[in-house]
Amino acid sequence: MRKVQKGSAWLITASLMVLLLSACAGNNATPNNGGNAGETPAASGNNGQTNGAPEQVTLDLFVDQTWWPMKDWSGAVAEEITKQTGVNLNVTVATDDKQLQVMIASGDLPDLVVTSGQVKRMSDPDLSLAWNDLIAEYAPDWELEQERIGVNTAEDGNFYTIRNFFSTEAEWEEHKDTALLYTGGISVRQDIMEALGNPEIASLEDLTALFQTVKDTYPDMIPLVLNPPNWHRAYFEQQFGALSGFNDVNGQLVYSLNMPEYKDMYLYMNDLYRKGFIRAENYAYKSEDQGKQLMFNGTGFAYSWTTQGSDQLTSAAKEQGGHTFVNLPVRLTDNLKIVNSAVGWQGVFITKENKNPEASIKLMQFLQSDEGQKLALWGIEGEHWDYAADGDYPVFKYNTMDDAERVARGAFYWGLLIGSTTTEMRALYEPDTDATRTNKVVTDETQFIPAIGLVAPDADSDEQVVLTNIQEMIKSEESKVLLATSEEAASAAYDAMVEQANRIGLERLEAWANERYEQAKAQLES
Amino acid sequence: MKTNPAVQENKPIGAASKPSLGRQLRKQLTIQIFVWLGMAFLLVFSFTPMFGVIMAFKDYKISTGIAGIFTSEWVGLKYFHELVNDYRFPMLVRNTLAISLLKLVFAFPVPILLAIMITEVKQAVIKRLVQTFSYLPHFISWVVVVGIAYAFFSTEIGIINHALITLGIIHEPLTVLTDPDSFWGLAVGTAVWKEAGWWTIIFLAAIAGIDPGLYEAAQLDGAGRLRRIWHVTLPGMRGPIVVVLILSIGSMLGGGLVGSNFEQSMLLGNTINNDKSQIIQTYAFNVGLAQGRFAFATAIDLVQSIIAVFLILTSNFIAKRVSGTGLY
Repeated sequence: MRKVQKGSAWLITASLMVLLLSACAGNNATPNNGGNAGETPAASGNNGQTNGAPEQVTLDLFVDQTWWPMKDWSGAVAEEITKQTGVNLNVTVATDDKQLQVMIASGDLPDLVVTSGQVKRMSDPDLSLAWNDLIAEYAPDWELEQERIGVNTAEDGNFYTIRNFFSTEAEWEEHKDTALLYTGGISVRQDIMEALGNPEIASLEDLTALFQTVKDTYPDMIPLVLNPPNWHRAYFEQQFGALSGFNDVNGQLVYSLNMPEYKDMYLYMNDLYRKGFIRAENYAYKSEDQGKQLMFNGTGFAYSWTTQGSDQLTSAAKEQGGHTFVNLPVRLTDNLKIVNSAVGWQGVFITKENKNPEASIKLMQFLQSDEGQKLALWGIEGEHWDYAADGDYPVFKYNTMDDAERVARGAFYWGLLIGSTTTEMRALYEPDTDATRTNKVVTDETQFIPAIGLVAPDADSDEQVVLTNIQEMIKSEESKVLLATSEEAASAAYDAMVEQANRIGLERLEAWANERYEQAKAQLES
Repeated sequence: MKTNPAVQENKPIGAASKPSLGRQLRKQLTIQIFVWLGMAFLLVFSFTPMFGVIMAFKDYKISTGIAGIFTSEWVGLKYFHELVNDYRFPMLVRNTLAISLLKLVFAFPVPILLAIMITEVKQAVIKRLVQTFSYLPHFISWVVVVGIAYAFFSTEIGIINHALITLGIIHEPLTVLTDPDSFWGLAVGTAVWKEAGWWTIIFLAAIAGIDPGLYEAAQLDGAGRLRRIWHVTLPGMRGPIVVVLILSIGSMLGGGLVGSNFEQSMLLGNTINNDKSQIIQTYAFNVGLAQGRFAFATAIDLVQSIIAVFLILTSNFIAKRVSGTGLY
């Protein structure tokens, strides 16, 4: 009996020890996997060659986006890309948003890394190969636009990636009828507008009067619902010509809090609250659904969100309430300001560990070509989409709103590795909807100032801390302005916010931003 | 340390000479293994990670990996300065202490009273019903509790506001969820509702352990129901009451007995009531962790841990002096 006990005790201890050790080993093994896995497929690449088929290479790609739905390189689109370029990708998707940072720290990088959060960190000659060198050596026929190179040039003068979600002014001009931008907007109930005789809304006074009429005619309704927690003041910021963050005022960057127009915007929104058009509880909502629910159940009249709002709300309301929504005009004042400072979102880095830089840069060249962009973003022409008869936008043969259908074909996501916004936006074009009509005006009214987009503090820098602290402060303090019970109180609360921002270091931040801004402008002009 | 009493007790009485340590250990192998595993657990998961505390004094960046904890530059008390100089610091300390104290004062006596009341109920069915319904909320997650609070108190869809307005008792809806002045009450109220029943179980167990003979004796002496509660039940529960009190003072900054300061501030707090709802933990989360500033977050939590250790040592000292019962 005793012996058995002793034996089983040893057994338990031993198995627990094994369990513990294997757990530790498991942790170590994860990053190694990436490195080792690379060697086997390279060998299989050689096999391909001996069989006489076009030379095939398999490269390891790490995707620094935890939500990335493409877990492997499959589907008709991926196969077509391999056919065209001879490159297969062995995909690893990040399990958490710190994984890449840890990989960088341990020096264990795969052939290719695509990231949006660590662009600055990866633009480093110790980690990545410069594309300008690679292009000169392996793809001299690839002519990249100077604008595109400018927004991606690192401080050492090289560029280590070309990010997607950027288009040159020429591209915007070429596709201005089908690649449409959207911005902050307000959508209102069409039936109520009609019942009120479709009053003309051409100024902020008209808008205030409209809300008053709605309040008087329909006392149970909420005249204005704000989308929580983003976009709630975007429409008003545009009308007053002061956008949150940095604004170009006569060539100088000014932070929104320091602009008198920004204060006017807050006071106007406070006025809307004091007149009873906005409910206080609106500012406590945390999810979009809380706001939208009020629109679907018929309580809300206007919804402050984006210019896509009228289409999206109408389509969602088909199942709930059945109301139809239309957008308010884009321009209500002479001060209207809509700025696009996009300089790109994510980019592929060809790391120093890369085993085939030639195939890597050629893959990028193909994906950036017009043919490659359409293949990766839209699918195979004729099989997945056809051109619309009268334009340069695709009409799809599958439901592009359904992620499962996109993933099955391998479409869309690989197009986000590199490419142009205009190709992405043309896929969303739907002729003759209310949002399309609004967005045409938006695209016309938009100023392109990419230099502002280049004024972004480095990760972990002091400027980054100051900037996020100011943003956090505004988020937590602004309701005191918006919900003040008198104009004087609102004004005082706003001034307190500015004072607080100065204490956090706004002045220092502005000085730094202007220095960066001059560099960025020079970089784009060169 | 922990093994010693067991060693002493298991030693065969009258053993001539003390056996060697090796033999002694081998003899108690099975029991020893349990202790070792417990110790290993503490060592691996509680003590080893503590070296990370030095992060609070270093310019640590996550990109430098675990090694960076040792290699990054010392910055002294930089993060502590930043914390103390933040414009929200006085408010954060006030809210953290106020919510914690209110919870201690109101949440601590409730389970004791509830346990006594349940014991005094003579009908078994009602007794069991009350007990079940009072501890069920413990199993509901805070996200759901906040959803329920919203359904009750919202000015737009809340049934309480609807009912009160329909009955003509109030004309404007009560802004319980957004009014800064009602946050502390809301936090304490929902926490007590959720956790009181759960803690009642411990006190019910304590009451069940009291010798029934004492009650009979008291009854014979002519003690009424209240006198029996005062002179028999309460003194019989003294041990558990003191232990639970010390534990809840030690964890006071996290909400004490009913806990959940962080969850409540995170979920019930919003941009309107944040003057009264932001606490040190939510600040550490928003300004530290969410922005990847682990060193700063560590400094914030270190301050809080030091206060908590101080509280638990003080309360234990006082409890020992006053009642003779303590944790150690």
